Amino acid sequence: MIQASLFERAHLDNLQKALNVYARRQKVVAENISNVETAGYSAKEYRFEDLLRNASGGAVQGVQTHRNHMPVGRNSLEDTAGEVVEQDLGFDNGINDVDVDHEMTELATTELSYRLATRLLSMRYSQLREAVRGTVG
Amino acid sequence: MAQPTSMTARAGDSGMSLLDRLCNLYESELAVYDEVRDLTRRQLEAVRRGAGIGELRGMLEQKRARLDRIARLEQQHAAVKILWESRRETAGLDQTRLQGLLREAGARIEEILGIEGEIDRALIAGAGLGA
Repeated sequence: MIQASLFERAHLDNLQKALNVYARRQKVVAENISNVETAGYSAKEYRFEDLLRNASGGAVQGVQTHRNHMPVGRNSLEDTAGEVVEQDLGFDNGINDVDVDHEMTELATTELSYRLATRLLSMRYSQLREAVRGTVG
Repeated sequence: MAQPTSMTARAGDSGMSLLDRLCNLYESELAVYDEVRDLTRRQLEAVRRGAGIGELRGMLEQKRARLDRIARLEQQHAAVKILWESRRETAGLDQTRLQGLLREAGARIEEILGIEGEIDRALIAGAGLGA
């Protein structure tokens, strides 16, 4: 069972938030890649999922008996802000700590997640539209 | 016996109704999403056992190829979707299959993104990728 994931109880506004998270992450990765030869630069990453999990884990949580109910005692996606932090992976490329291989993999991963989230958003809208048409058509 | 107009609306001259073509599109997409989910599960296992970056990149490439396939499917069916969405008359059509497929495809993508969340956490816990 996947818990505390970015997409559990995914609703349209949460999906919008998720797309923002992926976009910000891509920006940070692109910045790392463009600074691979900048002396003194420290590789950064955009953290979100673990912040969401930590924020949720610290609170007393209510049991959600229906996915449309408001979560009780846990931070929502809306309440959780991501942050840019230094990676601190201990890598040394001779100039700084940017590991291009790692960044390229991260870029590919984030791009795929973004594409999937976009498809999910599209699916959800189609689902809503068809539900409405089914009712009033 | 002639069927009501809403049951016989055709997309082009394929002889298949718009609704059937739309359902076939989502069925095809669903099959590809199944493959993406399986690949993502393999990716999670690989990260957990500290697989090298080359192996992970290979999996990402395979996933990308499948998402490209879905994009092509969508492109090929763009006209069908536009026709379907512009239709006013849907009464009398059994849309249960279409709604079920949309729900299932959405759930499958959610599942994939959930596994990707697991991968993120595994990477954070393991502080990066293997060499």
